Amino acid sequence: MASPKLVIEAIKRQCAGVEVRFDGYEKTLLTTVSEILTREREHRIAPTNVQQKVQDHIEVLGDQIWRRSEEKA
Amino acid sequence: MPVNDVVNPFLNASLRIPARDWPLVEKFTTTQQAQADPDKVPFRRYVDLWWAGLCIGVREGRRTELPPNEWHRFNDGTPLSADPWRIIHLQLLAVGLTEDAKILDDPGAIVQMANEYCATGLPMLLEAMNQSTEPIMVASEFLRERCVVAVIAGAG
Amino acid sequence: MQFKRAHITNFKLLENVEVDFSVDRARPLTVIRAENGSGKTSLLTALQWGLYGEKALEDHTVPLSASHWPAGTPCEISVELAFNHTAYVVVAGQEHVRTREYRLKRTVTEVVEGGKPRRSSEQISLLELTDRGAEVIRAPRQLLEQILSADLRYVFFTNGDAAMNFISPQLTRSDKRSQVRDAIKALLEIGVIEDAINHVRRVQASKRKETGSVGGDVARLASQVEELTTRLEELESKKKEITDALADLTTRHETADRALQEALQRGNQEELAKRLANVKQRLAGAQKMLAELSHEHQALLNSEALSWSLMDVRLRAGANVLRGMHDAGIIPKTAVPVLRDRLALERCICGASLAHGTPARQAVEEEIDRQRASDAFQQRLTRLYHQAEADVADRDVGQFSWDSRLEAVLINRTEWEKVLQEARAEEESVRKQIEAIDRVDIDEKRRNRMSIGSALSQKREQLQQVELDVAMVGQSLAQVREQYDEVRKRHNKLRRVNAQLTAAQDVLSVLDGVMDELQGAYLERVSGRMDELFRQMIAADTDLPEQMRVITGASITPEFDIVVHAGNRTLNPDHELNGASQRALTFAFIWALTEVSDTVAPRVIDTPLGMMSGYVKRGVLDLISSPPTLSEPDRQVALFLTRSEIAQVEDLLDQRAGVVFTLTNTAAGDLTCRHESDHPRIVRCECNHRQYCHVCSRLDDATYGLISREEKPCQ
Repeated sequence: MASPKLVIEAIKRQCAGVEVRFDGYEKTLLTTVSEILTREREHRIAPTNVQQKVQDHIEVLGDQIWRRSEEKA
Repeated sequence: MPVNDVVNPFLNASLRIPARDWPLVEKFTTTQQAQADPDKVPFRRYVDLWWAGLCIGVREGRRTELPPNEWHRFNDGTPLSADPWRIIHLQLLAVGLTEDAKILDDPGAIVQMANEYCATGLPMLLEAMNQSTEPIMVASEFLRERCVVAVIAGAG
Repeated sequence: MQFKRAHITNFKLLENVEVDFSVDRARPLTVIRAENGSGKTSLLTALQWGLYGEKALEDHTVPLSASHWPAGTPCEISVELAFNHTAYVVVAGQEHVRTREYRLKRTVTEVVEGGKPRRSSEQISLLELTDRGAEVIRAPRQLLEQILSADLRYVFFTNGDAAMNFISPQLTRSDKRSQVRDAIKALLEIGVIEDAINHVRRVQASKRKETGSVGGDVARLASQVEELTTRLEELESKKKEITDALADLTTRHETADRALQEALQRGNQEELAKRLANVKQRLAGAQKMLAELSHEHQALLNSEALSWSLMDVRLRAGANVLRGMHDAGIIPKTAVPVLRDRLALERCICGASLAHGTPARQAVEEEIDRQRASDAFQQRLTRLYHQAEADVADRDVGQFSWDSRLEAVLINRTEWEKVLQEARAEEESVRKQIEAIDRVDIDEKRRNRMSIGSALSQKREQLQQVELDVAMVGQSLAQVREQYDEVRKRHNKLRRVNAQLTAAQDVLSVLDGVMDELQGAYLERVSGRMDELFRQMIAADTDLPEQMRVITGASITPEFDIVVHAGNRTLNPDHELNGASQRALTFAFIWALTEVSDTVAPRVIDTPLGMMSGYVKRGVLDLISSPPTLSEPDRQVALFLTRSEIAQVEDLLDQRAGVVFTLTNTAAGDLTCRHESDHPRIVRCECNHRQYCHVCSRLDDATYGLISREEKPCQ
């Protein structure tokens, strides 16, 4: 597989270009994307319910966005 | 030499060849076959072939007499005018052979003499040409052999 | 990943073989010298099997045990591998680097019956060696896949001949593009990212559905977004199909065109027609000359020169007679003018009167009449004399030389006959060539090319249409999305779901961006590095044909084609490179992949230098064995080389190889010393690339200048 370093650096660059939803969003997004890719790699070795896991990660991130926006409101 | 400078005294003479040779004379002259290939028909006019025969006969040093009915008259002396040198040569030949210039007063005799020399040489040339597919080459070699001999030997 | 050592047991003829690898940073090369049939391929396969198991086997029906192993008898086969691995992990957004040491052992028991192997389940154990001792790794396959994915094994474990698959005329262009794309994808983890993108899109779709449950505009717009997204995916998929088909058609068109050009070349009709016209002209010229010469020849037979040449003696005799007459004063006659003068003077020369009526006058007048009568004759004689004199003079200076003229004509005729014959021969040859042009074949090839060309045009039109559709649907989707997002924002119930949709969109945009970056930027980097490496390798090749020396580089197109550049032209490496350059290009590609990916793993190559001549061989070896620079990670390269491959590059191996040893098949036919063994096996000796011993000595060692490592003679 590729050097994770390569992918990680690319993810970092892309995350830096995304609209900041809340403080620390960039790091949170980076972690979420990295986790999703890790789940995908695991799934390649041994089948898992990767769709659900991806959804879970996104829902967690989404909930953080929702809560922070509610707090602001 | 210019034609007008030389008078043709042989206009009324008869150019003759042996009658038996006539078919081959026609074969090897272009008179009746204007588009003929020169390599196969080496002589243009009857007089040209007659002259070649005459030259060979003089080279052989023999005249051939024939009865009147064995001659074929193919023309009067008019064709000789086209090549004035022939008129000169006939006269010189006659004087040289007779060693007397008086012969020049008798053009008829000169031409008859020429006919008889031709009657000697012509058949030889015709036979040689008729045995080859390249008549011009054969004729050339036949004549060339005699030229060389003539120059070297100094005799005729 | 860095190999330290391997131990192979009963894998083919590798009965009990220990293999160690150089871990010296300054000398990263491991050289395993082995002739053909000495276990190179087996070792390459064994290492891969050790890491990946059955997945690494090309053909599962081939036994792993040696052919001499008794049928029906279980054979325990194992590969043990000691290696290090450096991992990069992101924790709380920070990168962490850690190197760990592992011991891997894979074992299987095989029984061969009727030539077919039956193998037990593979037993695999993976231990991490820590300060606390050896720790068992519970999911060894998972870890191994993470360290060095099985998808990449053919990049890091290379058989010199099999590597040619990236440049192989046997494969279609789309197959080769797929191979190149797959290699890049695997190395850059693009497959994983693609899967992630698909899963995130499904999450998006499901969240949109949730918003649809609210009803009204939101539902309608959510449904539209879904439809358009699906439609767009279908169109993208169709576009890819058409693009691949277009690539194949383009290759076929190029092939058809090449075939047509070759057929036309064989019988270049235009050129032949020109030649024929030219030779006909020469023929006509020769024929004309010969016709003229023929007439000239004919004219010679009717010439004055011939007459002189045959009757020279008699003509001169005639001329001599006339000269005598001239010398005797007989010609020219001059009496008449004198007599006339005397009559006019009426006095004779003797003094007698010649007055009118005198008998003397009458006598003179009669004499004048007589003289006049013979004047005409005299004139003719005189004229003849002068003409004869002139002709004889000309004859004497060679003017009437008939045989020299004849000779000249004959020589000319011969020369022109020769020209004619040559022109005829050439005409016949050209006509034959024209006849040989298989018009039917050319027409067929032309039709074939036209038909493919027509299919190509149609395919291009289809592509244009689908690209247009993609653009239109993309635009519509963007518009509908915008409306949808607006409507969503306004709807309170959907705030949470909206936030999750936002999260999904952000994750998707990051993944898309990473994908583009990896594919675009890294493709460029791989292409650029491949270009550098390739140029370095072939720059030294003095055996390249002249036209190859204008190679300016190589690149990978955005469509994943590997192409070679020569000035303004692009060469097809399948057909327009020699074998050594093709191999160099393949290595350059693979090397570039591994370098750009930053993947640190051993590169094991079986017979890399086959088919290469001295300079290219040196260039390639220099590149692949060079130690890393200070900023680069450790590098490890293991090459399986024959004596022939080693020849002429021994000095380079002296510098770069940290470990060298030799493997020998005890049953090889050209060994100098006999091995005591009841069955063939592969044995190791410590001979390096310049040595031989009683184990590995071969009959042709002297050819390679090898020296003995020991004094022990053969038994």
